[in-house]
Amino acid sequence: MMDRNLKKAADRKLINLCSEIARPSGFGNRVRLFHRLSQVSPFPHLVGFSGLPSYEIYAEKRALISSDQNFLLRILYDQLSGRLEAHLLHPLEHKYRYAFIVLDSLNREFLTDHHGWATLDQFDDDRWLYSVYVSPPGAIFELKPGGQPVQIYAGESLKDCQLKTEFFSVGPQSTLKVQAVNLPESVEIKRMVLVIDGEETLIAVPRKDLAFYELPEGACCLRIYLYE
Amino acid sequence: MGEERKLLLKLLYIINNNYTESDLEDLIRSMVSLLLPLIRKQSGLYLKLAGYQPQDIALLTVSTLFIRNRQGRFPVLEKLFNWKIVEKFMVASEVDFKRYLKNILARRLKQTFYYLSSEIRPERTKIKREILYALKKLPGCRINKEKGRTLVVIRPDYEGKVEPETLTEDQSDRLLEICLNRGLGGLQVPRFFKRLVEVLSGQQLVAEVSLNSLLEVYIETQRNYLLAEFGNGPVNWARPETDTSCQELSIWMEELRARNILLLNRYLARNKIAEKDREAYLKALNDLLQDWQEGGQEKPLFAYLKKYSPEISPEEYRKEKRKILEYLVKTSRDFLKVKLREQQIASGGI
Repeated sequence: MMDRNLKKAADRKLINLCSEIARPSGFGNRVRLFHRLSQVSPFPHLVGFSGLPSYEIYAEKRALISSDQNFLLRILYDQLSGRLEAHLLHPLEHKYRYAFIVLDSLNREFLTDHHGWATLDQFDDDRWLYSVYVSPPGAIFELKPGGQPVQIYAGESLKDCQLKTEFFSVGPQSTLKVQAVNLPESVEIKRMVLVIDGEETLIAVPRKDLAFYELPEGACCLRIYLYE
Repeated sequence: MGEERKLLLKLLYIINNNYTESDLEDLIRSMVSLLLPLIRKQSGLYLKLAGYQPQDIALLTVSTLFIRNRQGRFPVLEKLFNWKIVEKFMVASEVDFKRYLKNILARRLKQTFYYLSSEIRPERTKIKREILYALKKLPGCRINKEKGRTLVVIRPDYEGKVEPETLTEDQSDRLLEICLNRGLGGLQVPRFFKRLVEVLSGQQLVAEVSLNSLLEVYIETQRNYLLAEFGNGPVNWARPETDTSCQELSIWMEELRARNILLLNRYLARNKIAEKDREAYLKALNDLLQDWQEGGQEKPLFAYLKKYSPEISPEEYRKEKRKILEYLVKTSRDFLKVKLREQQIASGGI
């Protein structure tokens, strides 16, 4: 009986890790999005944001909005690839940059980039649109060479949170150890995202608020995003 | 199809970004089950006191392989199991694949222990390393290794012609006195030893002591400083969060002490030891237990016993006492292992 209980407890930890890796996290800080009841624009010029190809390949498919009307998620259809793209907008940049878009019904999550863009996938129907959430980072830290992590943004619950970082060299590869400390008891870090020089993005599922990242050569400016 | 072949296929699905949650679960489960025996071999009281269960270490090791990028791919895993490697194993024997996987995991585990070393390495060992590092950088300090002992010679430059007095191992109390009187408490390791060299130079002294004695001097100075600074009560220090509470540990230690008294009484009843030896063994064991709680055994067992039985020679120890002391230490260690194991089972850690 005892052995069975032990096995169950061990299995639970394992299954938790697997589901955290494979499924979207049950983010504590998430905002539900609802359909915006206005006519969506089929015209690409209304998509109007920087960095997009100038030719007309996008058309707005859906628009979703948060109840406080601050988050706007535009779902665009790429007619060339047949894929859906998402563009998240918010008046504050730390809300749309590197935010997770969670499609609950499909068990999928997507991370937006610096511009609030995320490439979704090809979905057969529109069922996934019924439960869409956004989880913006709870805290952002910047780590420059030779320096200590500096908090550049923190939400209310993570305002006392600090990061302990350590670099290790294993052969030519260097590894960054990141540990979130000073967390309130009720807060658990579900994801840690490392953005390397604004280009490469690595998403970790931390264990004991700890993650190890293998850095590419020449990594310089690092930003670490924490998600509750 | 063999288990390894299935595992390889699952790995293939994951690398191709075409996996299900159950593929991932099977792969992680296999990795964890390969890692756990390796971790248990290495896990001891320190690991436990640092708040890590073997399963945590296994999951931490595995989770580094499953760091995703924005495209949902696992770059580390894909680097370790690239197409060429996977193709090779598709035609090779399953045993080869298992061996390769095991080697990779063992290497990653070693790295995890390295990354966690600042948390799971005993505090005293950490200080010892810092002392060594600081001494290597200080002019006038020399480190010699002799018969497994690290001897430190602090010989500052003197302007006078008088031969300086040498403080040897037996005079480490005087070294401590100097540190306390000169207010070296509260200084971090590099500054502490820099100041110590200056003080010794001023007093025309040379120190030739073991690294362990220097460590004791440093710790004792800091302890005294803290006691003086924050009142006379015991100094509270924050033990890392762990499943083994301090209270639980103290209870075990008390049980262990009672057990050792019982064992020594038996030796006494059989005339295998004298009454004064019994006391010396007991005190030596108590010191050892204290060191275990504070980070680990600090000196040879002989040194523990010699402190309470100063007349004992190394030959005498080897001939008569070592066997008894080693037996008592072994049973004490086994007792703690059993307790930790029971506690681990009770908390569902395995």
